[in-house]
Amino acid sequence: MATTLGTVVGLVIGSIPGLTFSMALALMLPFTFGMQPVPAIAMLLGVFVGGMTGGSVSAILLGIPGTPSAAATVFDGYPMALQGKAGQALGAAVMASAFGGLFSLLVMILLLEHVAAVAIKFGPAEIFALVLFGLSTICGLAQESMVRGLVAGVIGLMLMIVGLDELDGVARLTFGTVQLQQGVNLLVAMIGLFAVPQVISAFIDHGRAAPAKMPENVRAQFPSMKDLRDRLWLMVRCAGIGTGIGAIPGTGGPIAAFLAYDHARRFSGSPQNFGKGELSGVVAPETANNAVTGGTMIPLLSLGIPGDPATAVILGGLLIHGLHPGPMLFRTHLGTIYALYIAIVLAYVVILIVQLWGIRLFVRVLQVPPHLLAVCIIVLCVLGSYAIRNSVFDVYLMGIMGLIGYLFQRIRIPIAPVVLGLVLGETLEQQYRTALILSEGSHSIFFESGVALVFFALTALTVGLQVWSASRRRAAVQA
Amino acid sequence: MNFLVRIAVVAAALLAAGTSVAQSTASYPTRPVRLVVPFAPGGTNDAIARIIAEKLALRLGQPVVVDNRGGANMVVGSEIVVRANPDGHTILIVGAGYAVNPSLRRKLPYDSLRDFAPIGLVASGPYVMVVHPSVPAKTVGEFIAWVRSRPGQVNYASTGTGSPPHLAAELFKVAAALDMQHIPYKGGGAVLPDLLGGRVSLFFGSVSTLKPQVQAGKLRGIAVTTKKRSPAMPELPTFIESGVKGYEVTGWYGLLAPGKTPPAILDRLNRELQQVLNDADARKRLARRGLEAAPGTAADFSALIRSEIPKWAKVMQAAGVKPE
Repeated sequence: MATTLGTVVGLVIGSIPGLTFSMALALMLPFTFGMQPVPAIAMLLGVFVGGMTGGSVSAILLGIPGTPSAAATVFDGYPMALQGKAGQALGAAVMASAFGGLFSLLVMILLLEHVAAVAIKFGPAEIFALVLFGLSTICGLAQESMVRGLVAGVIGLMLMIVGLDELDGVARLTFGTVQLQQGVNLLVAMIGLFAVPQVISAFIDHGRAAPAKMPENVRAQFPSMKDLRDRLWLMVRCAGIGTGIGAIPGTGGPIAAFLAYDHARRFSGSPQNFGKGELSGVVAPETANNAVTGGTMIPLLSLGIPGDPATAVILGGLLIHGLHPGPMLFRTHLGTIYALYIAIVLAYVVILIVQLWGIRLFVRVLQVPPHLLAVCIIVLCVLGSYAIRNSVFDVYLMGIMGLIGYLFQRIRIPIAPVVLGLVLGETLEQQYRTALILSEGSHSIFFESGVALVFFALTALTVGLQVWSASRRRAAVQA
Repeated sequence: MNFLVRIAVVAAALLAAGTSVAQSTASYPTRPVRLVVPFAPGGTNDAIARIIAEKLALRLGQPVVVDNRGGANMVVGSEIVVRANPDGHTILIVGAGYAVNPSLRRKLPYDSLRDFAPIGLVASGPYVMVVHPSVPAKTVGEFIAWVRSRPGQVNYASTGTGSPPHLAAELFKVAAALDMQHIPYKGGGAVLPDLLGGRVSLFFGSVSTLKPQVQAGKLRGIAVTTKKRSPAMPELPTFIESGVKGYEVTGWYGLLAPGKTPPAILDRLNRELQQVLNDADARKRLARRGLEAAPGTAADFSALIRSEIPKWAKVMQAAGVKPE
């Protein structure tokens, strides 16, 4: 019962841009004080997995990620919705989410101790290498021009720099204001960059051109079993990516989703279809970001380490109910842990039922004329960007980001790499600096670790391949 | 629709009436009290605020709403409260870092003493000194000897420059004349992987984070930083017991109101806070986080802040941290 309630709350909050599941978890936490430990934690877990799944709904329907982890889902999910295939995309997203979540749960149950032992070996140097590899996927997101993609990526990284530096407390690019000391919030930037350009376009197009052709018959068309079966192996690989990345503290959903998206694109027979409404482009990030939920539970339960803000709140919930995560938990409260496993399975059952039923309703959103929908989106944007930190300043910031996003759209600078830069930049910088502080300034720390070297090699390979194929394409055009 | 409009009008009228009544302190509080938490949800400060808010609401007869305004090391939330109406309907919960901010930043948007009126201390607790099990030392004395045998080679983690764990370690460096390398992390959650992985050797952290790790043998507890032993981890000696003279760091949490809040309202809030802090359930929930309820007068709390600010200014200077 508690799980169901939590899951539904998570789904709803997750699907509203700006209201994240981390926030939902914090809000739900006080309600669990009076409950028994198992239902209390089960409810929190429900919010967590529900929120992770719900993020895909607005990503696909509105092109605005409900949570940062769903940012990669926008790239192909939204084009699919515009083509009238929203039902298919949503259906696939739910199935993929459930698959990813349950896969990671299985890994967690079977390999908990082993994965935790490996995850703890990831120090700052190793995580830096991993994130750098993630950043190399910019090349893949750049679409038409690699130079424009790189420009966008660097702009994303620069936006991330704004604010109080987390390690030394140095104010950077704040122009002397207290507000900017908090930095550019990732969600605020994302809402602005994704949503506002759409809204502006909707209004400009409205007066001028005939209203865009409505997909007349947005029936909830589900993905066929064949579609999913064809992608089973992809889903397994992406679930693996998600679980692994989730298990490494300090990484998290967005990184996993971007890496999985890039992985799917690179190993697909038709990478040119990505970004234009390719089903694999929805399945891959959704599988991976839900697999992260099980992944992050590994260091949480076995070591007591919260890997991201969401698990930090769950940790708080566990502590309040006298459950101290860590190796002792498995000796003292084994029954509780098994009950929690069952709760996660139950949460996914609820997700499948609610979402598959809800898709019929969700797709109707697309029947609303764009200029009317735009008004609703503005309301959601303002609400969402205010709610993140209860800050009016963030609403202005969202607007400014939106104008930048619109400008970029006009001069054909892709948005995706900007978001990637924002998502990965903070981790990248922090781990790099922490690694250097640990090694007292010597860069050798990055080359003494085998894991880091493997990721550096992968990064070099990715960049090299992209440059090579781009130059070959140009040669072909000139010939 | 008509009905909704009517409700809105009535609500607006009530609200207007409420603000005018608020002038007289006798009827305080006339509307929900906002408790600003200058951190994101989920941390210790937030957890304490929610316990206090729940109990305080029962006593004040008005809801106490927790409002998370994180960012810039408590400055954002504090600034909001400074600018709020000083009528007791907006209050702030701060942690020990509040007394560090004046020496960490050259320009604060408020005066830490003049612009806030203390309501009272809420809770306090120790920081626990832990080391990775690969460190051979089992006592403070052994640790000091071990660090002295390898000057500059031992590192310690903190939750950021100027954070209480950083200052606790810096004070230890000064008190024992040690040479150690500071590794700042972003928050307690980020420290653990490197601490458990043995990449950093020493950390001063909260009981709620470290007790399970110590119990499981993943980390070794060495001492607690308070004057007296902690009921949560009674097996650990204090630094003073261990021979480090005058070494004492207490993590504390307290309530503040805007500086011009009428004394009558401050008194009422302090009175109700004392009742809340004597509530068995509230004490139990604080104890779960390794904290002790700390009843006391507003003057006590004011004296604490006044003694903490110069104390940390000195430590920061010794540590070579310059205000930004």
